[in-house]
Amino acid sequence: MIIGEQKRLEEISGMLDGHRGILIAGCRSCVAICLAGGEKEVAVMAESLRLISSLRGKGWEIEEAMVERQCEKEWVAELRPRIEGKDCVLSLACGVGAQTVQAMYPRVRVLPGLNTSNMGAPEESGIFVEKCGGCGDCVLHLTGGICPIARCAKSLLNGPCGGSQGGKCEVSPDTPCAWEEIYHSLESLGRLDLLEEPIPPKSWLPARDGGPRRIVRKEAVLTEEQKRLKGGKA
Amino acid sequence: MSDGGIGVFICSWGSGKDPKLDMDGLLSFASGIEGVALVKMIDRICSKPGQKEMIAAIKGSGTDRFVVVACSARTKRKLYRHIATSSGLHPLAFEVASVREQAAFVHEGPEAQRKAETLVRMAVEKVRLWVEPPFEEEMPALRNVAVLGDGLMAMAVANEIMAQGLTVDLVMSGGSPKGSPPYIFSNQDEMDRALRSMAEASSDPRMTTIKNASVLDFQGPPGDFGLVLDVAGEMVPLRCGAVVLAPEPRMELRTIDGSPAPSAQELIARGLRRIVILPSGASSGIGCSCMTPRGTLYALSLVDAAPGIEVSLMGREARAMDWMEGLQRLAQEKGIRFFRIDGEPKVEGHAPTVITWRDPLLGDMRLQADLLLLDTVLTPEVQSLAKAFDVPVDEKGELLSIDSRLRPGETVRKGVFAARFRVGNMLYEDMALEAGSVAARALEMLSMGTLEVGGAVAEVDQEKCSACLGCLRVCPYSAPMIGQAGKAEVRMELCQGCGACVALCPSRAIDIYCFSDSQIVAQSRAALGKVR
Amino acid sequence: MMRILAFCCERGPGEAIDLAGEKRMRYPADLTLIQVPCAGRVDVAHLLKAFREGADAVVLVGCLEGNCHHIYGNIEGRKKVDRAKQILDEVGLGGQRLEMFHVASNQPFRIAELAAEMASRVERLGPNPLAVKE
Repeated sequence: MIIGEQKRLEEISGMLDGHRGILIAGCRSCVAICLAGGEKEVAVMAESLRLISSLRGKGWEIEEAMVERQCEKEWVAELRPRIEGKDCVLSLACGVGAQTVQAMYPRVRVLPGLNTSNMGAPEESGIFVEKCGGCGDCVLHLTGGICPIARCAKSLLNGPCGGSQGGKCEVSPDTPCAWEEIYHSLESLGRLDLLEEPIPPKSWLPARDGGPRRIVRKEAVLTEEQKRLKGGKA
Repeated sequence: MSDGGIGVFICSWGSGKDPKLDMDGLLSFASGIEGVALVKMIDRICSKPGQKEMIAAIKGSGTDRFVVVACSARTKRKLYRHIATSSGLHPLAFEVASVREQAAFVHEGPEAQRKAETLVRMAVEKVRLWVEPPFEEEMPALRNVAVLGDGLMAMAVANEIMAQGLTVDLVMSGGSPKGSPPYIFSNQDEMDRALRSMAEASSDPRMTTIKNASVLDFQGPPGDFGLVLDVAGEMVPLRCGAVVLAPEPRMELRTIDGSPAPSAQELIARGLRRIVILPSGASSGIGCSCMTPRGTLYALSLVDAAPGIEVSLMGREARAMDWMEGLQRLAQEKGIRFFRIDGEPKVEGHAPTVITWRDPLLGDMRLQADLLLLDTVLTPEVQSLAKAFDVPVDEKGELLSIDSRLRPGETVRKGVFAARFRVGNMLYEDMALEAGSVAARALEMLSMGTLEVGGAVAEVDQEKCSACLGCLRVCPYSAPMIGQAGKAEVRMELCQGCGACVALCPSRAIDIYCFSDSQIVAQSRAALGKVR
Repeated sequence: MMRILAFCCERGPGEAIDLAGEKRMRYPADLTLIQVPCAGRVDVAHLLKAFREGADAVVLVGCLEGNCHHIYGNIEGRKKVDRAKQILDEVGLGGQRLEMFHVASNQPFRIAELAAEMASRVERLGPNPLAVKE
């Protein structure tokens, strides 16, 4: 899922300067699970900002709202009555959610409360680790299920750089060397032969470098005729 | 929220008992609080007439919840519950304002009065938001206990349980226990009695013995557990009200390569004369590092059977309690040597083996042995039991008690009890005491035939739950589970009402009865004078 | 008058409070107690809200380390207190106003001790600027 982390209170406070009617909008999806933007965190953020407002005389009027998934227009539409009269929304959803809210409410400033970080998974309660590089050209079958793009600091495709020490990446003693993990995984699978198969130089077109990606699932797209026949919002 | 209004009962605890508080003042203060439909001063609520008066007042007024302004909840909680149920209310439909312990006794003058008023206000605000919790008083408690263990401890527990009229399913992992029981009997009589009681238990119709069984599955609420056992390949279901885990370490003298110690005849036949017995804990750190009576008894048996044999025992100290002291003296008289080791002994070579060690008094020592024997502890399969019943294991590898001082024998899983064992030397009578104690805990739970579950428990709002698994991970009792709808559900019969899940839930989907978020906030506001 | 709000676990600390009462021990009336089933029940929002409602200091009182009836509720409580302290420092109210204490059921004197400790901190830091003077 998407992992994000709250911005520091000072930074958020700076963004909110000059605003008055503030709606803090959270999301029940990824950010709730990584403890950044669920209802609980929205409440804590609201309390913290109210304290700042009272202590520093900011005059903020803060309200809290939740959205099932902030990336979906239908759900963001439900915020309309809450946004009425507000001059900004502090989104505690991921960057996708924040953008969706802005797009739907072009006259109300949307501020990001989170720094959206990566696609990852919980390792244990409270610890979230990056797993997937989102490169659009998955090679997990060749690396024993371990992503060399995300989990190798250099995104190497054909073996370790040699800088690892004690199985840990030279970047940080907390980070395992992905290629060592790949080796051990292929060993357990009995497929060390896959290491013989070189992964050619990667085309980064399907990744971020090719521009924002657009994926179409044709059978779910309503044709023009269907849209016409349906009427109203598609 | 309240339909019938809130009742406030102020205990005057006898006239003139405490001049500190203006009780009439408190009475009028309480009457002025919104939503309070009835205020009454009662002389000694804890007395029979006091209780009667209170019950009559509640019944007559139609209030559906009340506040008791008196002494601490702790001592009188059962009483107030009784008053609530006798008045036709839910047993938890009340709050207590401890104006005695928290105001009158600890503050002076107007401060005490003001504090008392604050406490009354807080209690009223809290009970105002009280919501009736789910409560089941009649969950059945089966009068059958599953006792898991292969040795004497399990048998002793089974005997204690059967003595109280319950039935037992004795589940053994093997066919019969290996090695010897790790207990020291005070005398032959005690040992004979122990063996006899084992034989009696095995033939008692109230006990069913299941051998060669491992636990595949463990489900259900305390009082009505469902186990599935793998008995030599066959799946056998078992239902019980409680589970007692009594894994028993066994002791065996073994050679370094793990085979059982040879008999005296074998030793003679193999020409092995110098025998050294080391406690297993000396080198491996597992088990005891002392010279045990078992080693002494074996040494004596060797020396008696084959006079030419030299036996030496080594250890950090000699555990010779009670009648064992005489045994050790006898052993020494027969030429068996006892050496004290400081630190780890070094063992080198094979036939002969050379052992070097440091004696605390004599310094560096060296001995040659034809055969080295280890007084080995055969640790029972605790890991698989711990996994099957989801009971944590401590750093020594033993089943963890929920509180070794105040609640020994209980594990973190309600209804699952564990007998503690001290590796090393345990007197048989100590074991008997432990078995009785653990059995008593299980019996206590099942004695009433029904179990009370519910009350101040947590509940998940399915709509708001993000299925983040946080509550499952934090709960010490494993009460939450993912239900059919893919959302978290709290099993009421396992929840102990600690609220850790509520504090953690990122979606505020869980709340707890009787201590809800809104109640805590209301109490805070009342405490800080923010309620008018 | 100072306002010190104490969230107390109803077991160890709760019993210590009763004992303090029975022994007629004196402690400042500024300390008001809210009983919770376990220190782990209290969350960051509750702690921060108390300051917004005018508390000069807030304490979370749990059982002694290793003695929590609910295994590790006191550890859960401490984690919340640490986070709230950080936020209080960031907003400028001062994390010192919030503290976690561990009290056993036979330590009634600790109640007076913690009240005195927090009172001296409030004297040093000043009253809560958000408290409405009445």
